[in-house]
Amino acid sequence: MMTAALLEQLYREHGPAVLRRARQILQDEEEARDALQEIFLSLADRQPFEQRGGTTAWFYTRTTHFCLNRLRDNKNRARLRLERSESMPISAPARGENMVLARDVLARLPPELAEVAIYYYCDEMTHDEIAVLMGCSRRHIGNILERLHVTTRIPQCG
Amino acid sequence: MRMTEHAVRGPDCLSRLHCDQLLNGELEDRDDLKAHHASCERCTALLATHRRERAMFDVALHRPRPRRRWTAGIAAAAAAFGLWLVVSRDRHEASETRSKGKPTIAFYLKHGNAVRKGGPREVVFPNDAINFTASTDGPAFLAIISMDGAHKVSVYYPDGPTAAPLGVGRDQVLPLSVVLDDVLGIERLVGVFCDQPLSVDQLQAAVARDAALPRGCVADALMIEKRRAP
Repeated sequence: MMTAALLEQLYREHGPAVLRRARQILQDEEEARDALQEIFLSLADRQPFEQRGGTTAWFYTRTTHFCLNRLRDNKNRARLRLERSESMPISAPARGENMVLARDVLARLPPELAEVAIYYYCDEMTHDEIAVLMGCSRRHIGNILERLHVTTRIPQCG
Repeated sequence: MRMTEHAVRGPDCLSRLHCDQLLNGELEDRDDLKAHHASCERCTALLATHRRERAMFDVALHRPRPRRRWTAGIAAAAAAFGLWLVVSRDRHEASETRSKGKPTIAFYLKHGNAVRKGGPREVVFPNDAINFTASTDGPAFLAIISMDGAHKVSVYYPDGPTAAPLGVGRDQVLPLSVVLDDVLGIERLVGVFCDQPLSVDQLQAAVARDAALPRGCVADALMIEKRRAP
């Protein structure tokens, strides 16, 4: 199990990047801070990282998955509310059409496409770098990006 | 075209991941990246942005709470339990026996709606709530460690990485409550009073191994007996 001291160290080293990614993807400060806490608190029962070299990449992918799941959950909740004809507004805050659109697009995309979209458009990673991060071939990433271009246009990342 | 607040990334440029890896010391063998960023305006600016971001990062991490136990600040505890501890202390204050010397811990126990001062080998039940008090004649730093019937060691107090400061006084109510889990048997509660703010992990490890405490620390232990709820 991870000690409190090690958790604190990881938080100091990786907390800023996790919060930045959560802000980029969720486009909501409160949700991003929730994500930051949940991601690190979920580490408490985990074994310490053995390979230090991959820790930053691990936090990148973990944050990406966590935030995409959160966007999908939010979208599903909004859809259920609409289906039940409730009068509450959907959860996306009115902070500019592009932000709402970005969240909406990411939430609608298949998980793999959404993940690659973030790495490619927000992180400006190359095909090779994305392939290493996701543990697949460069060609596969190229194919996913082609599908992505056909499927949608990605709004600007914040 | 990919769009960020920084200039478009060239083929040799750093990604954000690279910047974070560099700052975390994970790319010590990538001399190519280090050499490039020193000569690239975009990468220098991006790395500087990351450094500033780290320097300004001031979001506190909430310490993980003990599994199947609940802790909260005294205000929340008071709200949840209807100020049970305050009322209880008023009732018990007159009959309190006080002694000087060795620092001690004690506790109040809430079972259902009834509150009482905990005694030696107090019989408790799952979901009972405990609020500790501590007494000391000199300033100290306190941690309270529990070893339950399954020999699992947990930190009950404080809710941070180091022992918490404690002023001089008798029966000082600590700002945390604990709701007991369903592990039955004898549970040992050890209050460790130290002359400096030592790491809670260090104190927890010493209690878990039943080893000598660090220099400058003394302990006071209580036993409770957790039984299945009637």
